[in-house]
Amino acid sequence: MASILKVDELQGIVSAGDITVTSEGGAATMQLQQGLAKAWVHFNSSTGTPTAQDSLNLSSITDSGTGIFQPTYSSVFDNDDYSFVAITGTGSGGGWAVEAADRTTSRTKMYTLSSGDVLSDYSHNNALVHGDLA
Amino acid sequence: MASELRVTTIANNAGTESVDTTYVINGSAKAWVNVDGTGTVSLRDSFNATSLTDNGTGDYSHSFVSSMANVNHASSGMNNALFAANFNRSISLVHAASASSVRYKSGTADNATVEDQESSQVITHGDLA
Repeated sequence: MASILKVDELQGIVSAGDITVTSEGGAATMQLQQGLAKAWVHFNSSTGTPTAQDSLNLSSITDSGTGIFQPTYSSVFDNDDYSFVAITGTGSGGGWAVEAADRTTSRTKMYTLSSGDVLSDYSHNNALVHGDLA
Repeated sequence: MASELRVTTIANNAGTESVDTTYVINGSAKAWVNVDGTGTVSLRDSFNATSLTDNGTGDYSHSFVSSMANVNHASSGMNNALFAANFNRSISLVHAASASSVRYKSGTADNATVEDQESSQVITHGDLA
């Protein structure tokens, strides 16, 4: 029988930030909070001002020049050791690589590049961030 | 005292947003790492990862604390300079994988030369055992 839990906030009992879920195979448990993506964004930078098409935990995207952007997080991270993975492209080919540097707990400076390492703007930029929120 | 709640759907109190718990469990990352690949390699921060190994220049692997159900997990990653851009260090590839570990190489984008990285990041999604 299906069951639905309606709540606005989940907290652990022993520790508010620690809820355990059972693995798909049932052999292990994992901490729910650690596995959740803390931020993600899909944005378009090909039309001038970078525009988020959809996002989580994003307050703004600063345009710092062609192919240079700074996604800023609404809720900041606990440290700057988070895992940031991103890709870029036109949606129909093109795009080469993303470099991220100069990171803080509140934003990550990222560079989108074409082949030959030329800074370029693209229509499809996707970033995914895992780590610990403050 | 530990307590367990078994439900198929989690919704907000208003009932306007909901998600099947399958998406919560299957959609959560099962491991992630931020690797310092210079000098003596180390994990800056991680989840469900241990035993980071330096297999050679730009060649790293780590084990999962809790193993995956199979080798078919989706592990993706990229390399970052920490403080200043260096556009030649942007390629990372999964070199080998098993249910208990993942191995990845990092190199320059322009000539595919494998080299050590200031920051390699890998995120793994899939089913835990």
